[in-house]
Amino acid sequence: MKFWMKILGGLLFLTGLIYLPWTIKNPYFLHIIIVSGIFVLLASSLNLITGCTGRLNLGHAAFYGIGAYSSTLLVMKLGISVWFGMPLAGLITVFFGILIGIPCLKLKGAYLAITTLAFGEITRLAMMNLVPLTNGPLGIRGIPGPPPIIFRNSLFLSFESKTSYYYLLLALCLVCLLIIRRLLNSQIGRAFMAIREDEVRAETVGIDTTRIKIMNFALGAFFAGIAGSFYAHYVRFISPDTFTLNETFTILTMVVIGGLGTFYGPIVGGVIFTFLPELLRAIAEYRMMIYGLMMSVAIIFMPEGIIGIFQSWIPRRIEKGLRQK
Amino acid sequence: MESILNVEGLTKYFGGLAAVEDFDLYVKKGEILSLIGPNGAGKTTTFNLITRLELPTRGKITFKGEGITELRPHEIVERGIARTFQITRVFRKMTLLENVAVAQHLTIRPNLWSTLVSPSEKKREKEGLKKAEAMLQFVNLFPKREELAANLSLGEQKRLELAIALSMDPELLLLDEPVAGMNPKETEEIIDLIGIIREKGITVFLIEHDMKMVMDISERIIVLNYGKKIAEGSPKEVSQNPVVLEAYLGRRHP
Amino acid sequence: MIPTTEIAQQAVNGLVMGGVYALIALGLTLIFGILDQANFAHGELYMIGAYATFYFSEFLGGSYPLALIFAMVAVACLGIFYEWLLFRPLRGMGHLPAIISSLGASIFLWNLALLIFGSTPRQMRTGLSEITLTFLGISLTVQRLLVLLITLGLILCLYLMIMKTRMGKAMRATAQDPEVAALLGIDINRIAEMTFIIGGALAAAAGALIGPIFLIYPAMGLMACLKAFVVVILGGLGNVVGAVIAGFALGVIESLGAGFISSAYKDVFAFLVLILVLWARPEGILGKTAKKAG
Repeated sequence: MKFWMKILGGLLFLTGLIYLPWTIKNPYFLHIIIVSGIFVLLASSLNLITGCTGRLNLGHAAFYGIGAYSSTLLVMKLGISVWFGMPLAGLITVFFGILIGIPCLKLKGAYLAITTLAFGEITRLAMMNLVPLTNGPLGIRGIPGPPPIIFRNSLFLSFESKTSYYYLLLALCLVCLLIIRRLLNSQIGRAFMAIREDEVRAETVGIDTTRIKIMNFALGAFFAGIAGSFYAHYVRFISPDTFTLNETFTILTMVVIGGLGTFYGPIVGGVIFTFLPELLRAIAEYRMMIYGLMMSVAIIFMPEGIIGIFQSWIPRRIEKGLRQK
Repeated sequence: MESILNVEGLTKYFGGLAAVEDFDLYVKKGEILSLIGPNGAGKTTTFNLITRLELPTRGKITFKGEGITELRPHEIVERGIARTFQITRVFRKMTLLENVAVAQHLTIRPNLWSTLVSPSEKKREKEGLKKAEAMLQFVNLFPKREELAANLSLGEQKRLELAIALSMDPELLLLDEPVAGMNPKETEEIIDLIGIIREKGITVFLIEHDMKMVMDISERIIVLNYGKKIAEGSPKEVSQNPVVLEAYLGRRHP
Repeated sequence: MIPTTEIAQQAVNGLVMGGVYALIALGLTLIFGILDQANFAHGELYMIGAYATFYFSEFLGGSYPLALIFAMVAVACLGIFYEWLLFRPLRGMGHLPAIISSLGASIFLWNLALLIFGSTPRQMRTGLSEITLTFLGISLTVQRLLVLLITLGLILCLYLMIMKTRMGKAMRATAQDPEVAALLGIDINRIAEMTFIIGGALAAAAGALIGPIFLIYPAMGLMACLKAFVVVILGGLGNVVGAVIAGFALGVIESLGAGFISSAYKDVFAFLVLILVLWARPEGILGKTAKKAG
């Protein structure tokens, strides 16, 4: 009974999402929704590395940026179609994910955090200084969007309006999140968690931690790269200023407050922390301050995040209440 | 009977101190062998060396004829050796079911592509979960399978460790103080379980301090003191060995 | 012709900077060694120390030494708050939660500073910077010489404190084996507070000393913290002597690198050294004292 309810609920939600753009008059609002989708992908990708496997990656914005720049350069300098550019950018980011992941294999805790932070900053410096390739601090303008999808000689999706981008992102998110969900519930996902709990013990239950850790970094890099690639062809302008340490902190806040290591946590976190700055426009200067504060408070008082509150805290209180009766 | 595990000249120095020195032992296939000795004698170190959590300073370890001294811990599991830990190390924030299921990593052998794409992989995982449930039933922890491992009592954690170890389909089971801290009833249950395990053809090599248990179930006993083997033989032989008695009694008078 | 005078000059400048790095790193390494935690908000102690000195000397009209002491005291108190709010609630829960909580605090504090003080960098004046001494072709402003002297003095004080006082011995015992220390009746909470007091005071001193030489700005703690981590890793987590040596070493390397290779990429040297070291020895150069195995 419960299973069918879940499926029905999911289908209704999906229908709502598909119908959504037609109900929104304000294009800016749609823009925010699209941006929240990008952050859902980013938060979910960081969650794979930091939430599930317990390895703090403070250079995650670098993957985001590598995806964006790769896609841009593939399309603009090599003339590849955006439809090929995106997945290729994802693969290029995977390459860098493995490149960074290998030296990080033996590191953990603070060492890992600092090293990934260093890599993140080095990547950003590269974006700033490899001017012939990246155009430096000025960034790259005029990035083309995806070519229109033609279906049986009639225009299906032209990427002139935000609505098309919305549907593309919706499709991307659905596919990526389904993959992530499958991973989290699989033997590989359990291996991730085991490494988080006790890496040495994980080896002694037969997990090749080296292989799994690299796979983990590669996956996190891939989804971040896809998000970056979409961003590039949506906003049509990228610069090193987007892929900073602040960005990584924001994504980390989303994961921590949403719920480290959960599936829905990063989704909730991504949406909330994209809408929140909009609602709190008036106190924009306090934004990072509030994020920092929330991150510290969350990890101390609600380490399982918002999702944790719904999944364990509330049911436990209810159970307690029932038992006392 | 052939020996399934062969250890020659095993030596491990920590700084200048020899935790284990020139230790030779063999484990016969299908037997129950116990390793005993006063605290700090080097018993857990021996287990750590066999399962490659530590690298020996000297010595050679062979399992089923194959040298395993240089392998990585997960490769040792692959060859068929599983161990439990003296101070329980379960995956605390995972459920009991997940704890046992994760140990089937090698039987399922997941890789990225097959996990995402192949339906038979999903089927194998489902079977794996069923097997994990069966394991939990075997150690009498099935009702708590959805609970977090951190919530278990010590005795329950030790049983969980046993389930995890069995989940790896081992041929040789290394049990490090499986009944430490347990009351007599719990100890009896574990002894029964070990008996059943032995009947399935799994060789058991265990470390214990509970002398009654050791004398009851072991076919052969090795005694370690200050990292060196001082006696070896049947329970009767060892219990009457004056060197052994001195090692234990002598310790009580500093 | 090797420009020895130039090299020596850069090296001396590097020593000055290195002393500052050492001061910051000392607090950090003590926290690592005694409490087994990483304080990602350590740079903010340094930054607040600098601002505190700046504003105090403004109010008192230029009494720099007093401002230095005031800053050390004020930030030492802030250090206790760090312990109470960020680390104590998470004691014993592993490394990741404390990293995240201190990271959050860092973001909070430097953005708060940005709000209060504005992003315009400030210049501290002490009246000493103009006087320059020259010796064997190496010139040093009195300010820089003072930095070096005060740094060495503080390091000496710390050394005496750790080696000779009861509290120092308790701290060392806790660093070696927290369980045994607890059994001996050492109160980990008092030790933790003391560690943060010392760490805060030293970081504040570093900020106060660096203020007159370079500009003060809210984000100055970030880079300082990173470099302090590099120093700590190089010198060995919890290794006080190592932190001092590595701190001075990093200062000199940076100075020579900036002087002879490229000054634009000055900050990169710390990163490069870090990556090289961690590649070769993932446990750091000296690593932490081995606790329980496997």
